[in-house]
Amino acid sequence: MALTGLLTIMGTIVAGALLLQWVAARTRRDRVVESQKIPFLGGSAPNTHAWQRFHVRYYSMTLLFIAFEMEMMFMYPWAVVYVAEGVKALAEMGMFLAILTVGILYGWREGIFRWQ
Amino acid sequence: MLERLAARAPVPVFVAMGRDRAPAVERLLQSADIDVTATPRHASILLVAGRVRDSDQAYLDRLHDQLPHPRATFWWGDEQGDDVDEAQRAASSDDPVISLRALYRNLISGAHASETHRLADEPPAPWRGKGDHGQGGEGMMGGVPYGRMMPMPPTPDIRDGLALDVYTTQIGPFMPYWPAGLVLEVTFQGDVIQSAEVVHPPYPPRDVDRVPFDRLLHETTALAQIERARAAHHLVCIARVLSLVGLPTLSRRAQILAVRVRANERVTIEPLRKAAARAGLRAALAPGLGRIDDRLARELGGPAQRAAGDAIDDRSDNPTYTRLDFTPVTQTKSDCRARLAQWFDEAEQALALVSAAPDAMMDQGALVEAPWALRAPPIDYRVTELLPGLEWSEALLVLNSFDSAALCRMGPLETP
Repeated sequence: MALTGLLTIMGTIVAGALLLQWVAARTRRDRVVESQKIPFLGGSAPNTHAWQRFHVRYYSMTLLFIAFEMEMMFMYPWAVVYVAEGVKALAEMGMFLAILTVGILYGWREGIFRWQ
Repeated sequence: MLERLAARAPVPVFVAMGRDRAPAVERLLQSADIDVTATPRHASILLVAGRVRDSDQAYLDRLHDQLPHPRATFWWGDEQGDDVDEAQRAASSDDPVISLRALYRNLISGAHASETHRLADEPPAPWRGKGDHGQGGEGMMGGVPYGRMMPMPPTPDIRDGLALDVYTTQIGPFMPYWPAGLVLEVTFQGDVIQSAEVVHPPYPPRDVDRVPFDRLLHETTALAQIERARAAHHLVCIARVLSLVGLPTLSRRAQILAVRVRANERVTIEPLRKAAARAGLRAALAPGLGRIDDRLARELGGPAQRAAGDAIDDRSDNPTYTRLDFTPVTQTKSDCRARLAQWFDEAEQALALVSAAPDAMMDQGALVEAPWALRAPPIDYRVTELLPGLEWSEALLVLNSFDSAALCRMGPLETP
């Protein structure tokens, strides 16, 4: 019974979607042509397809985010066990932070902290 | 009912600026009936103002196809053939606002059919993967499209030396804040321009404010006319920069000031300058942005040269001006800020000269500095050398910190 209800709902949704598509296709006066799919470049066309690889420059920001975010993620549970474990936990966290600091230093060299 | 209401909205127009029509289009921008859009996607009418090169026809067709339906083209100029519908053209001396409004109304109501696309409906750069359907291939991104090397191209970034993917594309010739007719092939790495090449040079400028200077060659002309034209020219340049840094209201104010200056009204520029300073104009123009070396400044001449600290001005040798104790104003830094300050200073100085000698006349052929420089020979510098290392927004600011005559002289000459 539950299955029948579920199938009815799904069937209604699919039928509704197809109906909407059909109505949209019938009422559209003009279809979208390729020139309308490309970016506006003052009349010029792009030399390459949109799927081409392109270097977005937020990699350094991502690096910084991961460095600090991973730090915080592990420091909360660490703070809980620190009381029980004592110096051993402190040393372990020190090693972990030292490794992450290398990433931050690399980012520093790359100019992450320079505001542009 | 809805159609009637929609047709009463400002007409969304995208302007493709051809030759000789820049001042007329600036006047059009003042009209509350016209909404000049930044991209063709927001426009219903493509306004082709003036003549375009034959080689620019394909660019124009692509722009036309990028307009959403319903759409129409409107030709504004004297060169259009008889095959163009009467409703879709205006002579260059006519005001096209009424015709544009009628065309828009008919377009909305369906009385004027939407134009079909002009270019073939095929992608300009189809995907070229390895498989039958363009899928797959080598490398970690699943393809080596366009035969490019994996992992990365050989050119390192000019900012941090990382060799990562570049993006090369042509930009122009019909864009707001862009020298009309200029097509550049620009290579970006990230958001920074790595290199730029001129594909088509800009159209030579034709400025309404040069009229008194041309007249001076043939007849005695009033000093007030000359200096008002100079102030108006500089105000229009200032308006462009203000609009570009996101101060549209102040830009409009500068435009209106320019119109009033041309109409022989008494105006002061100081309030506009103060308002721009309060709005943070200096913060929008980074110090050192668009700095040019002394050689380029000398070769460009005019306000660009004086913004670099050279007090070279033809008016210094003109007896009419020396009687008024004329000394050229200069800046020191030679960057975008300095050139903008120079336009402000020169416009204020020009209006002060008008007040000091409202009736002074100058003899035919007297030597007078034009608002732009005309005397230096063509230079071998290219506008493209200014752009590498800049982000796109900075590049546009740098381009607009020169008047159109200076920009034209920095590009290669147009082949007829």
